[in-house]
Amino acid sequence: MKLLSCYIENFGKIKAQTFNFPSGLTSFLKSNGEGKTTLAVFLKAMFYGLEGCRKNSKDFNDRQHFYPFAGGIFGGNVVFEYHGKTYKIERTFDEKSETKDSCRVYCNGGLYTKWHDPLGEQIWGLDKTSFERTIYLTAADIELAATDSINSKLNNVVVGGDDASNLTAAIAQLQTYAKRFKKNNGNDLLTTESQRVHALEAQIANTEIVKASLPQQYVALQNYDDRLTALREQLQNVQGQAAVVEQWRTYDTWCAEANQAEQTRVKLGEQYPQGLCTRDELVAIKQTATEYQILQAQQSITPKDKQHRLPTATVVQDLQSKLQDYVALEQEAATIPDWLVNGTATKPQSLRTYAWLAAIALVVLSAGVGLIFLQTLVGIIITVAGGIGLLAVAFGYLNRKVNLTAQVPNPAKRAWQIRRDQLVDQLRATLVRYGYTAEQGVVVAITNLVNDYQQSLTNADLSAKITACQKKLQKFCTHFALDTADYGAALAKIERDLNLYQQAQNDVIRLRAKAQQYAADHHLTKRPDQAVTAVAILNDELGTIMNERANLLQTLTEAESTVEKLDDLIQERDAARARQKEYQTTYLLLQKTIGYLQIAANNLQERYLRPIKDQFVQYANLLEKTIGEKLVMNSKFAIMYEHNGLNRSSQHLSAGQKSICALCFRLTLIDNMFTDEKPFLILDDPFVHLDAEHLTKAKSLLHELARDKQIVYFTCHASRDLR
Amino acid sequence: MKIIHAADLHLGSRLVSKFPTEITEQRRSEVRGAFQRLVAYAAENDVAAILLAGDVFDSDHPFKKDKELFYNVIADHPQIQFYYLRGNHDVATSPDVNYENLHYFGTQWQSYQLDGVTIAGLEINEHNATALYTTLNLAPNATNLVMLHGEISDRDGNGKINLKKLRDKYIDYLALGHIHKPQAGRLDDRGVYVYPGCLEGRGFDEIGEHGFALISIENGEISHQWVPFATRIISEQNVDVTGCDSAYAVFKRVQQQVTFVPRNLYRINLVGTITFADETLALDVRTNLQGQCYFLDVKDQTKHQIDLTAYAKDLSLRGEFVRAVQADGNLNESERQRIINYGLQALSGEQWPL
Repeated sequence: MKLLSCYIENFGKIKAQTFNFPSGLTSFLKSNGEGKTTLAVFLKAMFYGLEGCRKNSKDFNDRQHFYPFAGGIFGGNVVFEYHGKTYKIERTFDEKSETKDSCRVYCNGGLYTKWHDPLGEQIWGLDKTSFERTIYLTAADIELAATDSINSKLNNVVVGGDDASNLTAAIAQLQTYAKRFKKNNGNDLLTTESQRVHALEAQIANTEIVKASLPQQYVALQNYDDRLTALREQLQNVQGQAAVVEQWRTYDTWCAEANQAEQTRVKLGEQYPQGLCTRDELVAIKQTATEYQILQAQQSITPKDKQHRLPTATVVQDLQSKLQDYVALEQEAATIPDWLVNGTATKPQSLRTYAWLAAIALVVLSAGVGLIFLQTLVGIIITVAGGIGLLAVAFGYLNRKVNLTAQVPNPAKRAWQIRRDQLVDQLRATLVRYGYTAEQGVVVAITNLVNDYQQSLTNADLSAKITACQKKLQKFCTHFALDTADYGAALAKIERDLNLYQQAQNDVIRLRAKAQQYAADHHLTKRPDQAVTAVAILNDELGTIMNERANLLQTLTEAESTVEKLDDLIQERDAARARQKEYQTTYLLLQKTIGYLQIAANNLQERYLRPIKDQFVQYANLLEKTIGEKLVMNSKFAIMYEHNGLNRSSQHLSAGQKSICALCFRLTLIDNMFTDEKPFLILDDPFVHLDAEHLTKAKSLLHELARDKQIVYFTCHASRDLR
Repeated sequence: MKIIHAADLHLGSRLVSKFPTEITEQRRSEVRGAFQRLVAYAAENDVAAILLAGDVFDSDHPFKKDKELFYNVIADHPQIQFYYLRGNHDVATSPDVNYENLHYFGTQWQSYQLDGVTIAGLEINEHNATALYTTLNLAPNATNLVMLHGEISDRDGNGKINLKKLRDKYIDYLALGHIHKPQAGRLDDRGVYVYPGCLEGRGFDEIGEHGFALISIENGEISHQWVPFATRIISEQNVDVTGCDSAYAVFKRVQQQVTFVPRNLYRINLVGTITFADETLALDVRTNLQGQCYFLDVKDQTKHQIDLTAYAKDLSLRGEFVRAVQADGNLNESERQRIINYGLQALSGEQWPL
């Protein structure tokens, strides 16, 4: 790789300047502030860009440092050869922000898009820092240690490829991954799993205890069940006993009721020293009382306003007999025509006669019926007479003939009339004697008289009967010590008492029989000896046992649910242990991996980077002549020097000596890192610390080195000018 | 007449494989409910009797709820006769529940008659392990079912069933229990022996179909068929993923080779050799196949193939690293593989799994 030229548009103080870089050594002598460093930084910026300005950063970085005061396009280009092609990088920079920078790459005149920032990494495989430490050397940047990218580049020397292998990054990643498994602060998988195992073991231990308690609980449950069975049996017995007691109680109740009824009966009996009447007697006396009442009622309705003398029975019979005669005469009248027609008797045409006769017959009939109740025989006779008369009238009426021929009064009729009138007179005379008038006819009057007569007889009979009834009642009440003033009440009382008595009597019999039957049915032969144990006490105990059993059952159920999970817990614990073991193994393997990587890195350095050391030895030989010390490089690229047989750190060297060592170190690295195309080397006045003698040697060294390397050398002092 | 022959219910048993909590709970419920379903089946199909050839309970002190379940189901089906022979797991369970339709056995031969069929059984222990063969007396002209619990063997012993000694004993059907996988065979010219297996698999060491044997007896002729009855089938399958170059390729290979049934449980073992390193391969495959079955477990048993010869002349840090690991004779092959994978992955700058 060979720098050809660069053009600075505006960069620091440099404005619109072109710089050409021939092969070999190019030396620039510029006074301080004239732009040596500017050019050096520019070249670096072309390949790596400029870091942006950070708001809160106090650092004065290159962007700020080299921003052109006069303004204008902040940037430029660089042209170089690489792998046989000519490339041009054009960049412009923003004052502050790298996002506003522009960058274009041209290859052999055409836009080239295969590279991207940082371009230096694309070209050399080095980051900016490594670029500074290999290609870019200033007096201030004397750093003899290698960087990671230097190592990786060195690695690339072996494979000849572009590899992003980064030991540090790999180890960091492994360590990060390993920390997932194990960390100092305990927030890791191993600790978590360990805690989980611990918790599970505690849970298992507890569950084992619960499991161990199960047999005992089953026994306890069985004991409760046995106790409940015994209690229930006992309760059943007690309840059976209580049933017997209850039966005896029932028996006693009935017996008591029977006794009560007996007492009632006796008490009632005492009220009647002569004893109570019989039911029949009561019925009879009640009938008597009823009769008495009826009679009294009849007597009360018997009319008493009649101012008549009562006839004798003979008179009445005579009247009745005459009445019969009268009725017969009237009947006979129907058979005797009133008129004769040519000597032929005719029946009378008028119906009135028949009607009158029928009425009379009816009256007689009614009277007879009425008399039946009073005087049965007489009543029957009169009734029969009335009935016969009625029939005769009906017969005569049905057989009447109407004769329309000439009529003469019938003498038979007259004779009849005379007889009738005589009879009527007799009847009237008799009636008058007893205060009866015949205004409504003798039949009615006689009927009234007979009725009255009968009534008088009845009244007399009533009185007698009433008296008889009274006597009976009196006698009854006296006998049974009842109040004679009020027969009704007295009879009601005795009836009541009789009912009660008989009821009591019946009750006694019934209850005693019932009690006996009950006793027989329930085999009540012997009363219980002792009072029944309180069922309530047993029930209480039963309830208590059942509650305790229920509690135990719940506990047992919960325990079984817990124990059921025991195997799951054990499995989970075993799985956690397995994970723990796996995590531990993984952690150890990761640690071993890190170890092996480090070993590999050391081996790599030892085995493959020996040429670098060997190469350095060559430079070191040159350096020994220059600085007078024998330099060595260890496997870590640390440079040391031998002094009195001991290796001393290069920190003991003077600044000038360090400069030369640094140069040789860089050259060694470049020789080994860039086996393909060697890059250019920028030396920004690296020998400011050398005295004249060493400077001369250094100049000679540089010329020697520039034979096959492109070196761009900057100095601000003519004494250090290499031209 | 139909008779069910079942065994090894293991009521109250834990699940032998580790499942997520919700699946564990459900599977436990299904295992426990298998007996209920069995009896319901018997009731629906006019089965006269159920032979339980041992290990009804998983321990001598079963949980109360398991006992209640068992006995309540029996009590609810008085029309079915239950013949309960205890096994090695529940041998000490005391027969303290007496139902008319529940019949027990003991350490001496006990026979029952069921519609002309003799059902005999004996619980083997060290004291009767030899004598049982000589004390078994069956009527030649009867239909004889014999129940035992143990492992078939050529020798006598506690828990062993010497099939040779049971030949020519007029056994028509030897109803066995103890082996959880169904199997059957000829006992002699007359009879057969049958292990119905357990009703439900409890984990990945009880894979395959599970169920019971249904015995049919008609006119003195006896036959049997095995009835699959498990709610879910547990399967384990190896899938060779040799040649797959990524987790996705492995996933596709599994999808091609495994037919998932949604209600079943699966364990897929990834075997073979792969060239890529992936610590979460099993997890990734399982995640991608989520939802295709009731439960899926994926085990990564693959071997990582690294062409170590390619690094023999690799002069880079990678090569040096591989050679350094190879050179350490204190590492076993698995450790070696893992360290190399870790190192190469780290050096390549690949993102590590979270």
